[in-house]
Amino acid sequence: MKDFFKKRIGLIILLVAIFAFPSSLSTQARLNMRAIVTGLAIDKVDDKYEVTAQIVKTSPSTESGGEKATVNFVSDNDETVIGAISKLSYKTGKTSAFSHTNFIIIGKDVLEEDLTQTLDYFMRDNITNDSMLLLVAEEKASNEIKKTKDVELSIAIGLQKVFMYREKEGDGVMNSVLEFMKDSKESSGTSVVSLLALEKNDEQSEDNPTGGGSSSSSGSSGESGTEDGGEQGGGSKYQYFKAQTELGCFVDGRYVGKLEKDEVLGYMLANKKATIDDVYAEDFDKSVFNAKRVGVKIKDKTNKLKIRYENNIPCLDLVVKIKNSAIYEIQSEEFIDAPTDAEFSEIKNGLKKKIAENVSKCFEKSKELKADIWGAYLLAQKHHYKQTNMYYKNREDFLSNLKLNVIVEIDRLEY
Amino acid sequence: MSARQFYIMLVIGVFSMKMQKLPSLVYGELGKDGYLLFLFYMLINLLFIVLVFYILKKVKLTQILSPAKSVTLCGFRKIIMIVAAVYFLTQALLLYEHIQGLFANTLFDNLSWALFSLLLLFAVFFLAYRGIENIALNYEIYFWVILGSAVIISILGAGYTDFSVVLPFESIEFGKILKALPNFSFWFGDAILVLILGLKSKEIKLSKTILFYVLTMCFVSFVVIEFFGMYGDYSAAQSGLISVLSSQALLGLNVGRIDWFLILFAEIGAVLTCSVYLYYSCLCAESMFPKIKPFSIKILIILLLYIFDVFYFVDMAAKLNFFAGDMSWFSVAVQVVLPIILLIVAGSINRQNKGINTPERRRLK
Repeated sequence: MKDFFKKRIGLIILLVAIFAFPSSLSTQARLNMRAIVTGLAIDKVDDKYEVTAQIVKTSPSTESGGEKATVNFVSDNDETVIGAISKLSYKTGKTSAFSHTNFIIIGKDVLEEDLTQTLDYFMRDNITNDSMLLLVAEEKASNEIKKTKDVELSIAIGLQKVFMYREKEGDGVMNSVLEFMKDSKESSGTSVVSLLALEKNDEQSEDNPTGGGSSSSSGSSGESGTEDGGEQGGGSKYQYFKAQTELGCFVDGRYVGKLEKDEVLGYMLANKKATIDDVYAEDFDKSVFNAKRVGVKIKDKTNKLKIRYENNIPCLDLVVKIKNSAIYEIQSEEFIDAPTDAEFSEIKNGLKKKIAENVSKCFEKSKELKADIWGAYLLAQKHHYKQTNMYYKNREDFLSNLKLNVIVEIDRLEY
Repeated sequence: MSARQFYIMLVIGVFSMKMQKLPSLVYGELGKDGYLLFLFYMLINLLFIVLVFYILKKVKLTQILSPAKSVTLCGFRKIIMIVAAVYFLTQALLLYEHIQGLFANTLFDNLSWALFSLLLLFAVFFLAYRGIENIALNYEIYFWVILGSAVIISILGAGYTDFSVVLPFESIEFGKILKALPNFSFWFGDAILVLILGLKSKEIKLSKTILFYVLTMCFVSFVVIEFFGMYGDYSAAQSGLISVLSSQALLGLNVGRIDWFLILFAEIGAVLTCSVYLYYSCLCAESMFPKIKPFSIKILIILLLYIFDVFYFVDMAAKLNFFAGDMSWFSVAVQVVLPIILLIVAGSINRQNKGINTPERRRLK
């Protein structure tokens, strides 16, 4: 038998090569026929889903740095999301590659339905990443996605990384499709999503010679039905991200309302992933510290959540531990050089009060929206299963009785 | 096969069998408490491993494979060989399906499996044909690559997992878990793996075998908890644990899934384990039909593997119905009855040997 194989080893290798070789011949052709989709926007138009894809245009001169890569936008609609996505391939004449899709923007009209059903396809499909960033648009998602064409960042970085950094700095939430779906299915059922808002900079830019219109560079792909996003012609309009002043709140996959300004700050202060934030402490005891406001930069913080029962009333202990912070601004009528110990103490108290106030505002709003924003019900079920099921029929019942206790610890405050 | 190779094959074999679709199926059936199924099976297999070691002391492989002198034992042996051949073939098929799931359904979206399956078939056949010592050597060569990849994948996944998914303990339904045990027996034939590898190994120790097995199963259970913690209710919809566990970890790099290298390295274990079962299936079939050329039997078994893979298991429902449906009782029967039968055979051989060595027999000699 060994001799059999030894004599025919060449034939075997040849057979294997024949099987493998045809596939490698077509590899380059298949790559050329790929349309790499880096982002999706989903809207609802006349009871149909309109899906807009941000497609990266590759060319021989495109460098991996991504600055020279341009994007095109292709839209189509269908009764289902997957139907609309399938049609995109037909429109471009290429096969759509979704393995690099790193964000989905949901339009306002889609928020009326259960998002867990809209996004179900992305959880089951093996090709799309369930780590895609989920964003909500204030109006039409297709308008927002087209604005990304002029955003001053490399295509390679993408919105996902931008929001990862923003979350760390307390200015947004990087909620992936997986996290959203998982949170919606858990007993707490609540998820928070960032709103994407891009605003125009009306100043003309000298550094952008191509201007807003790139239809001339689209070439034949433009004729097959692609649309160019952003403003056309008349100078460059860099798009900037708006500071995150609102977060969308979802319960069981359905949009229930927004968190605004101070509520957002309260949410971010209690968010484990946000380690950096800016807080203004106010309302000082004038006899101790005569200043209007003090700006504090939180450089590192941790959060802990604990649920306990007091006379069968659930109480959520939310600990905000500021490990490292610094005073960067003191607004007062008289110039204060370096605060004294008593003043420092008063600033710390003011800071604690402000943090507790903001977190409480967020909590009150979440109760109003019937949203278990910090997963208290889930925590109670995990750690006090019998007690929770004995005294509370359901999540709403539990939330209506839930009390919040904010504990702020400041380890280090520098000046 | 040396003792070191035995332990390596045991660790990789046990791990590879369970790291594909099984955790998704278990979650679909048992929810967040599905990891307990793995721990229950660990305890059951530990008992059988002790039994297997007793058998290994008394029985040699040649005694099982060679024709018995008595007609009854001969017929008995043939039945065992037929059942064992079918069982090992189905085990090889299970792993083959998992590898197909990874390459054809997850990694490549347009892969003609009917064509590319031939390449994988050639690879596992070549390994099985070269013999168990050769396969063992491959295990030894790739061991640290496979183990290292698996450990790194689990570390990457651990950072994004909510380990409190196992809570609350009060809601655990032990009855439901025990009832579901037979459904997943195909994936937990670890005692049989110890038996077949032990028959070809030298100087293996029970204590070390138990130690390595327990460590492997604890690692498997930990990784399953990670998987459940990461995906929650959507665990049941995932294509396989090994391909998704590290998917959330490297987003910050924004260079795509570079963890795929680790997944593919870990998948080498599945290919090697598939070849082990294929080898033993061929061995049992050859022993049943000594007059037919061994190479022809090997080709036949390979063809059966291909036919089942390409034509019978056309979709997930077909696979689930086969492995986790009524056929699971066949697996239970083999895993329970085979060691008992071998125990009886061991007892019979023991009595025969004692009969040969009685003082009267020695005087007659």
